[in-house]
Formats: sequence, C-alpha cells, structure tokens
Amino acid sequence: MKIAKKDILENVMDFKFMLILLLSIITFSSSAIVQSMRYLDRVGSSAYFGNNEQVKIKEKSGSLSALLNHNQVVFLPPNPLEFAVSGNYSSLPDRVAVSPLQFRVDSINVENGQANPLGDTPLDFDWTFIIGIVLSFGAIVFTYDSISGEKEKGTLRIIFANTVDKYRFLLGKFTGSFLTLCIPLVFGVVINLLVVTVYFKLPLSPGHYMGILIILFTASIYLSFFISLGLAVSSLVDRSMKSLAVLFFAWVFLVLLIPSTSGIFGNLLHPVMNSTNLKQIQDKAVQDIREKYKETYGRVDFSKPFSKETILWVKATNETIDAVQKVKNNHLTDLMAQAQFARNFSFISPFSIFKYSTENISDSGFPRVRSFLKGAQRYRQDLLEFLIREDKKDPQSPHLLFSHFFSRKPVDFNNIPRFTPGKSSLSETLPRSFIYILFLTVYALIAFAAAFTAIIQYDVR
Amino acid sequence: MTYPIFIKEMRENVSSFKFLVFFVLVFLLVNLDMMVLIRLHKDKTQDFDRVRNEMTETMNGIDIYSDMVVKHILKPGIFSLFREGLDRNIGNVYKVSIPDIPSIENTEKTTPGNLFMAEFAGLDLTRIFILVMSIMAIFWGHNAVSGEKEDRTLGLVLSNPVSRSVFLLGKIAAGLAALLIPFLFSFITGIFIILFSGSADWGPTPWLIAGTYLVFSMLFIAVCYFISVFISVLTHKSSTALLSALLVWIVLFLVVPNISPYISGEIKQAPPRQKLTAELDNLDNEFKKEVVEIEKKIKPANFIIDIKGNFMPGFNLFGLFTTGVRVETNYQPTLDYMKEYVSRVEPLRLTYMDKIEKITLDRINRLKAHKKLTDILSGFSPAYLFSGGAAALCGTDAEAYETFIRQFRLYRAQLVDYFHRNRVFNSYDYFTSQFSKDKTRIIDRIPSFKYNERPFIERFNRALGQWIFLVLELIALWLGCVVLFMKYDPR
Repeated sequence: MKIAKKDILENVMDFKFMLILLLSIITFSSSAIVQSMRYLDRVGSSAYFGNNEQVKIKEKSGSLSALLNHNQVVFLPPNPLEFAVSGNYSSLPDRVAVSPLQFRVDSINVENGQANPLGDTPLDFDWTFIIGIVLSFGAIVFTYDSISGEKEKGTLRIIFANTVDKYRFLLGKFTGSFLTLCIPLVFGVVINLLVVTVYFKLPLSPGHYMGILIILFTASIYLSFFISLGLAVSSLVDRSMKSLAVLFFAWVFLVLLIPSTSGIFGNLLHPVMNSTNLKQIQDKAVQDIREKYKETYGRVDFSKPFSKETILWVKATNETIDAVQKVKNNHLTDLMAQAQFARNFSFISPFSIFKYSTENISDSGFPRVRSFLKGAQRYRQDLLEFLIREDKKDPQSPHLLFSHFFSRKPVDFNNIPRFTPGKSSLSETLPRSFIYILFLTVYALIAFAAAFTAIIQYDVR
Repeated sequence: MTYPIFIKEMRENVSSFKFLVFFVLVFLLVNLDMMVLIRLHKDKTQDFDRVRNEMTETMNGIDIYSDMVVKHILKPGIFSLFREGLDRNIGNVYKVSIPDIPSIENTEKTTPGNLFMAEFAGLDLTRIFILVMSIMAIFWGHNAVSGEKEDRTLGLVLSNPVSRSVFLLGKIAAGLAALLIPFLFSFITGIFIILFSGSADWGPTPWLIAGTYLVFSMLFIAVCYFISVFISVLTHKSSTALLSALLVWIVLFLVVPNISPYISGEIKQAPPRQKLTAELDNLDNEFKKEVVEIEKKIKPANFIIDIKGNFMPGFNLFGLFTTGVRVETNYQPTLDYMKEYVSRVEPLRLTYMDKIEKITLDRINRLKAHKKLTDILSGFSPAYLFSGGAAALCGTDAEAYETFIRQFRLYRAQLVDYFHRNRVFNSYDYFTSQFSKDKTRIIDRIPSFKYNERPFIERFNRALGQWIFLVLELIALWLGCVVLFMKYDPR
C-alpha cells in the first residue's frame, strides 16, 4: 500500500501526469460536444426522413396494390450511447429499402453533419478513441520506468534489501499506476457526462448509466493490460529507454497496426464476389426461370387476370424476384461474414477486443447494424403476410402477387405494420459482450503473470 | 569528414535489430497490401467494363428525347492504390439529363465494396507509409544526439577536429539513408507487383506520377525524421526525447488529423442532408402545383391519357425529377395534349432545375469551405499534408472530381441549348418515336461529351501547397537542429 501511495505521489507530481490529464480533459470534453451535436443532428434527420416515409405510406394506403409495389426506406434510429461508443455509424449502412417483394441495403449514411464526402472519414472521436488510444498510451508512459527506472537510480536494491517481497512490490506498482491513470479517466468521464446530460440533455435512461458503468469496468481491464505490459517489459529490460522503445513498438502494433491491417487479411483470406460475377449469377438465375416458364414468359394479357397463362406468368415473375433476392441475400451474408472474419482476425489486438466489447455493451456498431438488417428482413415478411391477408378479404381480387392482379381496396393506415428496430436491453447486450470482456481479462491476466514472472527473476544489481 | 561519420553510422544502423524488424514489417505490409489492392482494382476494372457496355447499349436504345440520360463512367485509376482519397466516398458513374445535374453527391458506384468493412480504413500505400515510416523515423532520430551524450561519446567525438555541423550532417544523412532503404525497397517491389499484374497501362505519365510520389514520400519521411532529431537536440536524455517524440507523434499524426474535421464541422457546419432534401421536396411540390395549373389550362382536370394501356390522371404525378414520358398512340387529341403539355412543362422544369443547381452548388461550396478549414487546422501535421498532396498527385482529391464535374455540367448546358435550338420541347419526338423523320439515333444527334483529362502538371500544381509546407517544415527543423546543436552542451 505504501509503495502504491508513493508511486501515485511521484506520478502525480510528474510533468507527464499533467500532460495526460490535460489531454484527457480536452479530448473528453470536446468529444462530448462533438458527439452530442452529431447525435442531435441524427435524431433530427431520422425523424425527418421517418415522417416522410410515413406520409408516403399513408398516400399509398389508398390501394393494397400500391402498397405491394411501394419501396419503403426503414431507418436505424440513433442510439443515445453513441456519444460514448459511436461504433463507426457514419460509415455503416443505416437504412434499407424494403418493399413487400424485395429487400435492398440501400445506401451508406451520409446524413451526418460532419461526414463531408470531400474529406477522409476521421476516426470516431468517442470514448473508445480516447481510452483506447490516448489513455492506453498514458498507461505506458506511467509504467515504462516503474522497475527499470528504480534499478537505474539504484533504489530497487534498497527496496528489496528491506522486508518488501517482489510480489507486494509489483502489486504496489500496479495499483499506483492504475490509480494514477484513473484520475484523468474519471475527470474526463465526469466532465464528458456533465456536458452530455446537463448542457445537451441527451435522454439517458438508468439502463444507459448501467451500460456506462460496465464500459468503464471494461476500460479498467483494458488499461490494466497495458499497465501490466508496461511493468512486464520494464522488469524484462535493464534500461528504461529500452523499455519505452519496446513498449511503444508493442503499443503501435497492438493498438494501431493490427486493427487497421485486419481489413487486408479479411480481403486476402475471405474474398467476396465482385459486382460483375454477382450480376452473372443473377442473370443465370433469371435465365433458368425463363427457361422453365418459356411457354408463358413475357406473354400476359392484363385484361385476363384469372386465366391460366396469367397465373403462370405471375408465378414466373415472383420466382424471378425471389431468385434475384436470394442471390442478393447470399451476397449480403457473405459481405457480413467477410467483415466478421476481419474482426475475428483483429482479436490479437486488445484495442479491438475493447472496441467490440463496448460496441456490444452500448448496442452500437456492426452487431447493431447486423440485427437491424435481420429485423428489416423480418419486417418485409410481416408486411407481405399482412398484404396477402388483406388481399384475401377482397373477393374481386385475383389474389396474385403482382400489382395489376392484387386488390385495389384501401387499407386502414393504422393497421399497416410499422418497422420497429429492436432495442436491446442490457440483459441482452451483456451476455453478448461477456466473451469479449473475458478475453480482455485473460489478456490482462497473462500480462500481469508475465510481469510477475519477470520481476521474480529480475536481477536487481 | 562527413563521409566517415556517415559510413560508421550507416553500418551501425543497418546492422541493428530494429532495422531488420522495420525492414521486414514495411516490406510485408506494402507487398501484402499491394496484392490485395490489385485484386480489388481488377474487380473494379471488370465492373467498369461491364457497366460501360450496359450504359452504351442503353444510350444507343434511346428513341425519344424524354428518355435521354447521358451517363459517363470514370475509369478506375491505378493510382488509387497509392492514395485512395475520395475514391472511397464518391461514385464513378455520373449522369446528365434534364432533371439530372452532375454533382459529387449525385453519383453511382460500379463497385460498391463491402459496406461492413468500413471500420477497417482503406489501407492504401500512403497510409502504410504514414503509419510505419513515421514511427520508424522516431525510433531512428530520437537518440541521434541525446543518445550520444548519454553514452558519453558526444564529448569524445567533438573533442576531435570535427565541426559540429559536419557531425550533425553525417549523423542525419546516415539516419535518413537507413530509413530510406526499407522504404525504397518496398516501394520498388510494390511497383513491380503492379507491373507484373498487368492491371495498368503503364506509360510515361504513370512513371512521372510514381516518380513524383516517390520524391514526395521521401520528403515526408525526412520531415518525420527531422522532428525526431530536433527533439533529440532539445533534450539531454534519450528516454525524454523518445517520450516527447511519441507525444508529438500522437498529437500530430492521430489527434490533429482526426479532430480537426469535427472542430471545423462546428465552426463551418455543412448544411445537413435533410435540409437539402427538404428544399428539394419543397421545390418538387411547388413544381407539381404549377403543373396542375398548366394541366387545367390545357384540358379539364379529369382528362385521361392512354399510355401503352395504362390509365393515368395527368403527368404531374411524375414530379420534378422524373421525365421519361412515352405516349405511343395514334389518337390525335392525346398527341396534341402531350405536345402542349411538354412545351409548357419542360421549360418550367428547366427553370426549377436552375434553382436546384444553385442549391446544390451552394451546398458543395459549403462542404468545400468545411474541408478548407479542416486543411488549415491540420496544416501543420506532416501526415495530413502528405496524404493531401498524395491524393492530388494520384488524382483522387476533391479537385480532380470537381474538374470532371465542371466539364460535365458545361456539357449539360450544351444539351439544354441543343434542346432549345432544335425546339425539342415543341416536337412529337420528345415523347413518341412514331413520327421521327430523322433516322439517326438520338445519342448521335445530340452533342457528344469527351472528358478532357487534365495534364500531369495540374496534379502537380494542386499538390504544390503541401510540397511547399513540407519543405518549409523541413528547412525550419533543419535550422532548428543546427542552431540548437551549436549551443548543445555535450558534457
């Protein structure tokens, strides 16, 4: 305890502590302003486009046939916790076009105020960035000379000449560095939360606060890893200069290099089809159906909705739509599998694991988009079933899934199914993030064990 | 005297473990990345060929003016492998028609790529060099002077008849040469991979671009190295030098380029897309109302027109952004109605499109202002300067796209002029092909578009600002190093 206390005092009086504290306060407070404004922009944008879509549906509710053909765009609403964990929302798809007969990932999100298409997309300036990059570097700055520095000054021999055992010494050093690092973290987070809740009044529920606490808990495990790594390297080498060089290299490798190069390996080891090949497969599927229905394909008399030819023609048309949709869905699954592969590849990096765990806790990023797309696909099915049910009530309708041969009766706008993106509660997101937290803990324990082994064998002379 | 110092330093640098580690790292990253990027480039080229053929076929089949949409597709450039730039954000298919104004935000992508991989930033050659070479430069330069002092060799060296400037020059030259070896080796193998993949027509201009890019990259690496040496001369302990250099690196390479777009977003906020959409929706509604009035003037509101068997109560339903009106009937009242309708509605549409062009240009100008402010805020970051200059050299910066769009917008003006001169809106040919006396295809009748690609010198000029800033940084750092080293206490 005394070692920890001494270490904290020493660190706090140091210039580098002031620098990290200042960096933390500046980044956390500006992140709060930027992220809150972006969130409010997104809320406005989502409400505007959502209302527009509802107006269009209301217009179409005059005829079931019009609804069958209507391409509705459904949106993924912003999540209040995006101020802490953005989850790359400005680059991920946040809308899909859903018509009862088709489903299409429409576009990437370009509605954010800051997403300027003329510039590079900057890294998300959120807690993940600040804790993951700035504070993890702070962990290295506080620990690189913890052991080797004491040896260089000759104080290590004196300490171990007393009744202090190496394990207690290591634990003291760890606690000291950890608590020192907690000061900029807590200061930064408190300022950030004050700006977000008091000034911008973001609607945070108790569940969100619970999520924030778990994110902070995960952050402490993540920072523990770098503190332990710092102590391990500092114990393994005899000069603090060498320790800093090795640690910085390891930091660049784990925090910057692996997360950014995983995309290369994702592309290299899990390639996906290009648009031309995809088009060829689609054309082949369409051709096969044309071949199957060659007697009726392209021949339909719109004035004879109940004829055998018409029924066959509609069947062929629907099969074509389904076949093309199937190819597109398979491709979508493939694209997501490639992204998942690249994410799995970056599991070597504690920064990536930290990022994925916070994304899961706050229900943002890739996992959220994936469940949104699944929800939209389910919604398409619900909408289709609803229209078929309503169509069956109309005795004059030929009951064929094609706008010309579908009921033209109006439908009550309030009865039309609405898309409600599933909101995951903490009880659902926590188990999802458990595996990541577990991995991070294992990493931190390994690093601590390495530090322990290194100090046990350390030659203090 | 500089030469022996250079040789000694070089020998030390090249035989060190860190040299080997960085050499392998740069070599592997650059070549693996090249292989992936070339495969993606081949996919893009394949998609480009397919879409271009489809487009030509569609445009050849246009037989009424109302269907006329002229599309232009930009060929994927091999230099996006060096710097992806706006290739990631902006599509490569542009269209011009009465309701289509070419703009950076009105494009389609022939190769959309994997949207879910967005979190893995496109790792082009420039990004790899920024990440790895800058860190390598820090490791090389931080102990150039402070390390010698710590080892107590600085005093010994300077006690010999060797001037400080000669010593510093030898030291810096050797460090820089050791840095450039892995860079040059990886760069040359990368170029070989491109050449052997056969994925580019490699003429004199690509060589010129690659050569200029090479010099520009070397300038960037030199600036990174000089930052590190400067900090080394400022401090007396190599650990302090390394720590300070790392903090400077985090601020200059990570914090500044990533935070400045947000800061400039708060100062010069680009209007949100929803505002643009709302303005366009309002114009669309106004247009529809005016069209209803026109329809009332021509015929009673309940007039019904036969379009290939479909019944439709008026054309106002199409709105501002859709033309494509086709009426293939011999029924003269319908034809007369259509002729009258088109002659009144289409000029009105053009006046509305002028308003839309103004709104679009205003938004683009505000986006440019936002980008300019970001450029100013990040202007002292060597990484930002290097990536901006590289994008200009590789033709993937905003100006490269703007140059094309300006030409395409002028082409739209020519088309509109053609429509007016030939009284297209007063002819049946606008909405039906059955009375056309001219047997040539519409695409052959209208003015054609040829993209006048700008010469290399323009790309170079666009990168000139970044070049000058980097050179100024280099000179300032060099002078700083010399002045500080002259006063440096070697004891």
